[in-house]
Amino acid sequence: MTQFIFLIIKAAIVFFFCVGLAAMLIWGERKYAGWMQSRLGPNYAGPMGVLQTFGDLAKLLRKEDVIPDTVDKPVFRAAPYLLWVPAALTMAVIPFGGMDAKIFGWRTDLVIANFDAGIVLFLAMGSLAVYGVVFAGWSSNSRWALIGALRSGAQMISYELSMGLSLVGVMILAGSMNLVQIVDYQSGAFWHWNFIPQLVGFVIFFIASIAELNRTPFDLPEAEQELVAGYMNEYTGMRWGIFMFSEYVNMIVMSAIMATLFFGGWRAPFESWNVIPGFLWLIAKMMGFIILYMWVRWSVPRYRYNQLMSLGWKILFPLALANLAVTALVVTVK
Amino acid sequence: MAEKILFIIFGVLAIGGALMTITRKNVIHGLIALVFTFINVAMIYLVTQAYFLAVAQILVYAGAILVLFTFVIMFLDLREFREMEQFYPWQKYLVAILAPIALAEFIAVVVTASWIPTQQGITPEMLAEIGGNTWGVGVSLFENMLLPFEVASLILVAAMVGAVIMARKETTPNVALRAWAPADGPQPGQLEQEV
Repeated sequence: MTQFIFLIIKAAIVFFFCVGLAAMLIWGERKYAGWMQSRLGPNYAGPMGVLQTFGDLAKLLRKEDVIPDTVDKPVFRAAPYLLWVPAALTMAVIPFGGMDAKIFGWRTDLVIANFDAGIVLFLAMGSLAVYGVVFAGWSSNSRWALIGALRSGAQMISYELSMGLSLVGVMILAGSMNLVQIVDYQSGAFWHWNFIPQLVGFVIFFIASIAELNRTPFDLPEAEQELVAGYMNEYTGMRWGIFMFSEYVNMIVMSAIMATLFFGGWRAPFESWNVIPGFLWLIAKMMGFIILYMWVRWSVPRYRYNQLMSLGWKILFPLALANLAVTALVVTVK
Repeated sequence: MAEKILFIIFGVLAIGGALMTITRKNVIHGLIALVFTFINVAMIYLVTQAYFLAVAQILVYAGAILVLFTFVIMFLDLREFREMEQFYPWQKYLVAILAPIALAEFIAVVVTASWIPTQQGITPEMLAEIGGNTWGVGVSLFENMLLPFEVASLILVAAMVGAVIMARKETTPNVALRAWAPADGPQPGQLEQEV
């Protein structure tokens, strides 16, 4: 029974952490973009404008939720949630500390679900996120939205393939799909982490994850010059806000997955640094990746659609297959 | 006991979704109901501790096959199909014959499966002995059932090659795809060969 209560507490903490961090990241990205472009960014609400997102949130909640007459109403209403709820579920399998850890005299595993097929769960939830985009575009009954949704769907499906294959190398090395066991496999100082033997896999995963997140340079589904706002064209008020918000939740999940699979998860870079609690290391690594995402977004221009497809199918996919073959060969010979 | 309750909840939801799938006039609504059904079936797998199967069900059926369905439906002109209730006039008589046969087969499989003693459920202790759910699936796929697995993959490759050949058209260079055309050449919407 105590374990069940612990489970609920852990799930609540992780969920609210994700939501809170996503809100802060919206401010952070605007501030970062301002810094990159030699301007100030939000600076009125609160010190350095930290309260900007909360002000925006209050504004969005008070705005009228316009639902056009010709949209498919139930699908239109449900679509924003489909985009981030599956992704947030992935956080359940990410370990943020050791197993059987001692907290205030209680013993518990510092992971919500010690799930046997964690990586497959992540991929499955990623594949469900396509529905949010596609249904939003279809139900809007608008050309821009539909074109954006189809582009996004095609892009996500194409890059999902390379993404899945790039993770198989990690699975082979660790001999498991369980994220807890993958972190255990990377125990020790930072040269034991997976990003050294799986550097190719990591780079492929990072590029594919940008495409999955629909961020620049792969943000064709919402290319302003061609499609206005793409699949979220007809959305207003808080429903539009959820789309905005879901991008950041997905970014947090991707960063957590990368930190866990390739950068030792909650482990410190040196054994002696493990006195600092594991979840702080995990957050630090996640923040590093999030800053990397922002850096890429504000410095690389958008790809053309055929460039995007040829990068996905002609470069990343064969590279991921080669990486898989080499990893399998090395592990078998050793 | 908890498993039974969860099984009944997800079972009812899955059947409800399946009913929605075949009764909706709007194809996309039917498709969403089908996604819902598949996710509930995955939940039933989770209840029976088949974790890998559950996520594979979501990944393959809900995530891959139905996304393909979505794309196909979106590219079709739905108004054409809304008026067309049946593809063939004799369709319903065929269904009246085939559906009871399928049901009888289904019941026969369920009844005969319960006769065989090895078909009993898998306990957590058995899973721990094998070395986890995913490991168990891997061993049974790649050691015990290697030949059927390879045959199935060969059939899938054959189907894929067939689909590619059927979908491939002899393409003519079409200037309609170009955004602009020189004034003295073929105009957009016109085939180059016509000029």
